[in-house]
Amino acid sequence: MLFNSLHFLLFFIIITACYFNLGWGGRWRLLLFASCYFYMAFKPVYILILAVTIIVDYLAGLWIEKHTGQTRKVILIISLLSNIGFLAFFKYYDFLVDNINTAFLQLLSLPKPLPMLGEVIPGIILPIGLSFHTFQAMSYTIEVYRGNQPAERHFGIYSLYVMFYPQLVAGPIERPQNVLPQFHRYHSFDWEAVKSGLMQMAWGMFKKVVIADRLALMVDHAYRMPEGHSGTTLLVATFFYTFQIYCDFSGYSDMAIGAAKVMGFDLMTNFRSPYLSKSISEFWGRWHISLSTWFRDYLYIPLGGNRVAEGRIYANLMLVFVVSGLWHGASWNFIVWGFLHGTYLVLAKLRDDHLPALKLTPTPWTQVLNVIITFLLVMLAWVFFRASSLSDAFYIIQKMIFPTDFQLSTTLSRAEIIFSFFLITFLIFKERFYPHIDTSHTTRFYVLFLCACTLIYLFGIYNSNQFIYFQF
Amino acid sequence: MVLRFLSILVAGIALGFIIIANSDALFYAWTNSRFFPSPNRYGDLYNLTNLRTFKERDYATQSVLTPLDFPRHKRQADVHLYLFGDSFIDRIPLESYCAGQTEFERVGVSSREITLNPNQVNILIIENVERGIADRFSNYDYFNTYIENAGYYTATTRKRFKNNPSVNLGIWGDFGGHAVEERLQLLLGNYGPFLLLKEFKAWVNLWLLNKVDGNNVLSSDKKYLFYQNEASRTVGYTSSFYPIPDTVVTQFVNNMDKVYRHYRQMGFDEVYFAIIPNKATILAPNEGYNRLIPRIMKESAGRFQMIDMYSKLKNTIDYYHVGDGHWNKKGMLMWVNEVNNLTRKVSRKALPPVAGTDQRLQTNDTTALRVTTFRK
Repeated sequence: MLFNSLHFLLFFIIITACYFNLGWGGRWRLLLFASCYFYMAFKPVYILILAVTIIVDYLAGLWIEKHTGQTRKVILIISLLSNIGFLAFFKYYDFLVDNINTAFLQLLSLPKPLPMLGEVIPGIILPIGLSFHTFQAMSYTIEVYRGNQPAERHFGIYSLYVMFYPQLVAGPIERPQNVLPQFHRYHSFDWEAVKSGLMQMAWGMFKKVVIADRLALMVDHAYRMPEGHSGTTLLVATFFYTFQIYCDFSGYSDMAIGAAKVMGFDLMTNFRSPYLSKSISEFWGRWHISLSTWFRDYLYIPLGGNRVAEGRIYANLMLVFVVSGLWHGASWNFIVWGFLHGTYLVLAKLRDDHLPALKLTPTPWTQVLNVIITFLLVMLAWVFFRASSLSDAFYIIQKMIFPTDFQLSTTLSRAEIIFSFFLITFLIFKERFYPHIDTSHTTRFYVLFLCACTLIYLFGIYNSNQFIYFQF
Repeated sequence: MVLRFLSILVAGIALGFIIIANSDALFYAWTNSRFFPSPNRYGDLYNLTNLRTFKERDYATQSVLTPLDFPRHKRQADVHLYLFGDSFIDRIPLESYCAGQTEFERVGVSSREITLNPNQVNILIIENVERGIADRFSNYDYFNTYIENAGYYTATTRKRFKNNPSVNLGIWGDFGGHAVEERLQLLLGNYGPFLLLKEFKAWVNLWLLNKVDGNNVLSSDKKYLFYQNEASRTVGYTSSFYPIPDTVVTQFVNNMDKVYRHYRQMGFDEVYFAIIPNKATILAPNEGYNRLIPRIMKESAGRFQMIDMYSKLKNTIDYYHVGDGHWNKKGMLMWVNEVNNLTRKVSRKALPPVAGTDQRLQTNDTTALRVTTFRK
């Protein structure tokens, strides 16, 4: 079920109305049932994957807490392997086999190529949001192992931790310390929270259906067949994609956080105006925060963090970002995207540590320049994220940097292109000066909410465009 | 207390809609009930775009032929007419044709086993709208559409080819999937007040952004509305305005020829092709028509026969609906006349005229034939 659908609107009304009419026991059951329905709307049978993951990690949590010494580690490893196993099977099997077939078919004298997953199990598709709920489940067992979180005894509540519908398929990737205690509490009806949650949902929806899906019309057209378009078209399309992916993903996060807030739950912030960052490291502190802190806490710091030799720090940084790229998708494009961001960070760190003279003196103008440079670097990397193949990505970059003609070819009307630029300007202005919409004044809330809903209806594009991050 | 009651009531109504949308049986029961107006009651293009200018209020009366509209004709009892076509002719009652017997199968939807009567003149007309040519006669599709899943097949040809599987309706259909969203939009958005909202949105988008919903296309003078696939300059060969190389036209004609020979070998005395021009071809001829129909007709000369609807329609302006992508009653009547002229031409002899509808005709056969009445 997509947040930008009528189906979800009705679903949300039903669940929220029932939620506030039930006691604590009824609420967790209702939310669990609703989350199952929400997930099964994509492909019902895949609920079994979630069920297995939940049972394994629930038991693992209890056993880790109960045991001491090496046994705890063994149980943790089993739990992590079972999670990663699902991920590897569904997400990385084809990538691995494809590369083996390409690289070693002649070398190993295989009689025929190794079969792809679809050939072994016809009709199989990647379960939606697999990387998200797998990472959330993993963070639970790791935290129990570290002793930061007591094992959850209530099976229903633990299931809800993994399956809570607002953040089930595209995050934020939560930590047990934040949400498990909230599931145990009874949240009274709080009009302030409801107003704030609804407004955040409306803003998220605006970003998704008014901005992201409109920009997607131009982006999809240009990226579908890049060789048919001029460098200018590809440049504008890439610029649009930079905002499309932000509005698409942060819009989803806003709707998820808002939907949870209406019911009294506080989920972690996932975006803080990332395109206003003055450096790549600042960008990663503002973009997909729940994932970047996950990698920081569970990969970068265990590898030694900043407390190891300088060379090792750079290697760790590169490793974390390549893994992050791979987390997004099983393709060389994502690996290159991660590698590129890792390289940016390593180069920035080298400059800071060894060539501080190259660092610009902080003045208002240099701050603006830093924001622009950071934005351009991020935009360049998005080409790999969006292009269908590495060759397409290199072709697009080449054409953008060395354009041969300047004609803008698009399916959008001139008025739509101007409107798209206006929306981007509006977004930047809003993020810069009004990052949070104040809803404390009820009349102001009604007016703003009504305006937002009207604009969403009038200028929204509703053709069931899936969220980009669902595929991860 | 009142708030609690209201919230439960709203939730109950919303739940009702979700249950109906998730169930094939309930959904079809609801949409076939008298409480559910047809979504295309003002024309399919209006339904897609919600532009008020193209809301055709008399669409219902202009889109079907009634017995009063039928041409009076002599019935050619020795001709057995088989029609294999699309939405342009599927609502024309079979009794309006003058052949002794007339059958119709919808391309891509239905098929039927037949036994050709050697005592009759068996003719087959394969009708297609212009925008369907690229899809149905490409190298990839023609075999599947016209031969493997043929509209008509004999016991012999059935052994060689598969046929369309039947569709079963279950209580729980596409649980939660894409169909549910489409059904909810249909269930909720098809009534008066919602149509007003949709019209307002369509007007704002056209006025401010020059955008027509669903990427459908307005003619440059904004007088006519066309489907995207027949009038956009970027969608490909389905469009009247997309350049089509000669090699592609040749490919279409070659595949039509293969289809022609397939049916002739099945035993049909003659097979005719008919291409109904796109609405855009007729109503916006100066916007760069690629001349697909004239080119096909030229290239097919001497290989198979075609019914020329393009020449008849090309200077007309009122043979297509305002709010729909199909032709109206006048267009249908023109088609019926063309087919009847052809039928008379191929008939070996003519029987005396028979008036009225639902009549029984005495034929050379020993059994009386009931002429087929309205078909869906």
